[in-house]
Amino acid sequence: MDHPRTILWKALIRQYYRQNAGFFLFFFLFFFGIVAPSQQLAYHYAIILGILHTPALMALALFCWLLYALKCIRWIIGIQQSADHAFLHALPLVGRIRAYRLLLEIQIILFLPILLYALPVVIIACIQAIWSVAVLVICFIVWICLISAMLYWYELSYPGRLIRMSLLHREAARKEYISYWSFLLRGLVTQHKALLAGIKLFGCGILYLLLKIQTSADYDIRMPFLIFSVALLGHGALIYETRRTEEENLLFYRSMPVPLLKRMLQYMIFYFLVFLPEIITIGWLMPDHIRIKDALGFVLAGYSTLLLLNSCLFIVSLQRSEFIKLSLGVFGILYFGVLSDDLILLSGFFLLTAGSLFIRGYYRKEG
Amino acid sequence: MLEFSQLEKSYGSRRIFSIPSWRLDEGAYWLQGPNGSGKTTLLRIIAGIISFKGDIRLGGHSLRHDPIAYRRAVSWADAEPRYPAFLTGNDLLSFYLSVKKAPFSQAGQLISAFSMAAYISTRIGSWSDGMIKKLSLVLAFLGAPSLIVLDEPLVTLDTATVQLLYEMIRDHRGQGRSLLFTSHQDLAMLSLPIDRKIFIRDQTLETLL
Repeated sequence: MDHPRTILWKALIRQYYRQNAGFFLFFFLFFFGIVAPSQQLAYHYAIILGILHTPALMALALFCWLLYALKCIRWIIGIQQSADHAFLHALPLVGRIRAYRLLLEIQIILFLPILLYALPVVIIACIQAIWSVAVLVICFIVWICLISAMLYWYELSYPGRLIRMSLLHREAARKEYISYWSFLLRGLVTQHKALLAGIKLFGCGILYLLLKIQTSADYDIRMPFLIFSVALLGHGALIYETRRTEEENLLFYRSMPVPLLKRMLQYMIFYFLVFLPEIITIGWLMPDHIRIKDALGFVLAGYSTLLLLNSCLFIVSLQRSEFIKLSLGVFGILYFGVLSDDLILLSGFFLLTAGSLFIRGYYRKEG
Repeated sequence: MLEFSQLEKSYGSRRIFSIPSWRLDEGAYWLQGPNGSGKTTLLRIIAGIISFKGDIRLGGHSLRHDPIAYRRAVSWADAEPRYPAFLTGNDLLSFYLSVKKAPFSQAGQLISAFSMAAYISTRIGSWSDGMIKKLSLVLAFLGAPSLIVLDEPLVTLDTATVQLLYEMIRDHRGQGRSLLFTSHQDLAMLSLPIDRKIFIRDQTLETLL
């Protein structure tokens, strides 16, 4: 690779995919995680046929691709305009056409997730001789890539002029409601994406594999739960990192006029979303491989454990090693809960304890 | 306006403050004290960020018993503000606007005054310290607080922004708001209207003329 290309790869492509790993993971799970592996081909073939034969679905697909293109454009132009990427403005020195070609390559690679889905759409359209749709999809994607690369080139050649394009730039101050839980979630997804992905894959994978072998004739939920509780302990690392982010960078929230119950609700929503992949996995295997009562016990025990560990960190500041010991203590209680077949009762106890610890510890009042 | 009663604060065995009773009327105050005397700790206590023994009342609202009304009346900007790098200025602004129920037009005016429009929609991770400081001041001036607490507000600001900050402080004083700030620079020399100086001495506060 030559120098300009190497720099663009490092400054744009690598950074883009790193920063958006959580976004891609979410969409990957959304598109490929909700159907059994054996049915994937048939499922996506049906979606593609729908896109090809229903104009409304085709319009929806094109609109989604356009939104993704706008996301790419905004991200790249944001990077180009940031002070620490000012060196990119030297790119036009390699020559207009070469600079444009390099930026087009960047756009094609950023657009790869869409291209990978659009390719079978075009192939199937050609096989079925729906030429108009095939041409439309090809033209649409080529147009998006050419225009995007042109915008990147324009921004590098005439810095700052694109700032007035409202589609590409948000208004200086936009009016919208942002919740605190979304800050916490974005913190996890952007700063601890590998940890999050690893814990989710392990947790959901373990649940899927251990529950899938359960049959009505040979049903014992204790061992799957005990192994699943190891994955729950892994969530302790996410909780610890989230609290650390709050103490270091979100201290201002403590000074804001927000009622205590509303503050608690932010954590309840946040941990519900964090635990959602496991809830979906359990729901998916219910009732064939896990009975409804046990599924409820799994979900409530997992969710209440996350809230309890979070609340504990408001009572005392713990070092990581101390927090691991605390998590192991909670693991011990879970162990007895599953042995005594009282997971739902135990979850209720955990939820009440989490709530009271939070209310007592949030402001850490002294005296 | 601001009243302390039986306020105590310690870090481990080291006592920082022991203030049986203290009252501050409306005005602009410059809090002084040597390094490590507890200036930042005091401002954070007033902002409701860190714990302490005793109580503080602002405009009749107790921090301990009426925390929402108290926090609505006070605004705070840290000496070295830190925000998550993954957020944009707009994210924080929208959040503050919704929580403080401040008018949207006020945010626009502040952004324009502090010349932040060009980068407010970019991620804070790419900002300089001066830009982050400006954002913390914009957020502190949002809403209608009766007390604005600024910890070292002049640090990292350029000359033009310092002048702008002085004008804003004068405006807010004119609107009947109180300000309490720390600074190692001589604010009186910089023609900032200070009503009183407050000095931290022997774990308590002294109001000087």
